[in-house]
Amino acid sequence: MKADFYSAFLTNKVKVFATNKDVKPFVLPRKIMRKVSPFLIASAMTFSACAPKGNQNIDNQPKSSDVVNFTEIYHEVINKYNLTALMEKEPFSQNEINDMIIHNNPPEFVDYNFNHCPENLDNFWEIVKNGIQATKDVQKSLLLNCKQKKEYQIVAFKMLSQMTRIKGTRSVVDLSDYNNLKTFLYFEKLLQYGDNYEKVLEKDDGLINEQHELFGRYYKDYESLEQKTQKLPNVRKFAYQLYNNDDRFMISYQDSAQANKLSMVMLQKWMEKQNITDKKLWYLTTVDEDYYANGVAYWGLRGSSLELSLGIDRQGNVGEGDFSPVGAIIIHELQHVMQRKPASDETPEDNQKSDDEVAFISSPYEGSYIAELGPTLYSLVVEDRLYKQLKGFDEDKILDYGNLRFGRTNVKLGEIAVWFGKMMDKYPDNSIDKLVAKDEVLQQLNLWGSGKKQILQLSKTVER
Amino acid sequence: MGCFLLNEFGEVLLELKSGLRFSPDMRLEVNEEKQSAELKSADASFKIDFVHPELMLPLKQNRYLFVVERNNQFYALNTQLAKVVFVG
Repeated sequence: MKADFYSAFLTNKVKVFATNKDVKPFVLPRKIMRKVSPFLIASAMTFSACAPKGNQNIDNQPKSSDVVNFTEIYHEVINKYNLTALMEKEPFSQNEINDMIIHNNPPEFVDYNFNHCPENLDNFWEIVKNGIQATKDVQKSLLLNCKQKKEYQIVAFKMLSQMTRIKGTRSVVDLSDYNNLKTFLYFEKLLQYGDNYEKVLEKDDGLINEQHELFGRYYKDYESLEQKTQKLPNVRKFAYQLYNNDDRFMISYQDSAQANKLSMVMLQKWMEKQNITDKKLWYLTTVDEDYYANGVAYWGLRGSSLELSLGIDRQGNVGEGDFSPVGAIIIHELQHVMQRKPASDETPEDNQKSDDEVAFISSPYEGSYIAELGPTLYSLVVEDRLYKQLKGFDEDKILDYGNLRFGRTNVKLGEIAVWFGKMMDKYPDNSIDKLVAKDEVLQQLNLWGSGKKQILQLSKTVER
Repeated sequence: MGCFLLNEFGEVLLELKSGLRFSPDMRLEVNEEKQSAELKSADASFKIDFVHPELMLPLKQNRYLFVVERNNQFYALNTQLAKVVFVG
């Protein structure tokens, strides 16, 4: 069996069987497949989930009641996982997407700016519809082989399938929705580079672009946290102090081999929880040779592809003699990748500005320690727990790694680690910024940052 | 609730909304006589009421199938290769 379940179904015949005895199997019609293949069979997921009620077996002509109702499953899943953001939105149906592909009438292409920021709905559809046309055009290219041409079709179909519109409208899409933004980005890139496969679709280790599901996944949570903390200067003070305190790197180089090994197990579990299967999201390098090591380099200026590069020091060297386990660094940096809005920092008004003016726009993200707050707290917990595993301490013990100083008050890093670990267990959310934005968490951070005395019901501190 | 997909190579994929905690040792225990199955993970299981007889041969031949759990229409929340075991 092929390992990739998308490719496993890249044939022209798929039969669907319900797990309910009363529903008869049906074959997805060859007639449609021949017309739109491989668009229709791009993904077994989209393929089956979008199957409209009208999709009937042309050989047996079953009744529409014989067809599995995936729309129902879709809404049940939304309710189950409380995906509120999706409740007011709906996907385009299979028929509508096919129609978009087959009867594509792109508006005049006038937006040659390559700046990753949809101006308005018209601009969005201009790029998407011209992008569909570009997908058709590259099929005639002599520079591409059959497999590459198919990949262009498959990616285009996946991008169209992930779009959502506002319920009850025909084509009103939410321009802040990260799936829609990424569809826009993809087609914009396609329009820029056409049949240059390397630029559009080739994947290098450590390069993360709009096709990755994790890129920007929780950007709205980060924006919400940033907004909430505008009124909480003490939380911002706390974030600054925590990030700049090197005592938080408590594991020494002597324990690095074992710590790295254990951290990779933690990373594996974290990736499973986050449903991340791509192991090529980072490249290994060294801090001495690579300026971008242990950080996310964000390329979002006009004219360049929007993507992130993520290099990780292979030994866990974080500079200035400090060590952090490799798995912990990777988690920390991937959390940053999830925070980034999949669009440049330009605004639609910037389209009127010159390239020079745009190049000096400062990102609100840069220099904001709030972006570091969640990932750093998470790293602190991970490293505290690893240290205790290595040294045989109980997870609840507060160890003395050093202090953060706010006015006359000291707050122990060990205490912060144990407390935030408890918050992680109490609110097991995949989005770190959503967790930090909880009132209970912000109140505690604000209290610490204010320098006032406070009592937490945690165990006694022990010397390490 | 869910469905099986069978392609012309005899490969089988199971799509479901289970809430099951997927783990590497996941397996699908098929009871051919009862035409039912149970998807078992390390500490959880999920009953599949009906396995169509037409699926039995491809399942026996492949001995593995992909299980996909969705969080919405577009994204698979979990995907896992599961071993097929015939019981009963």
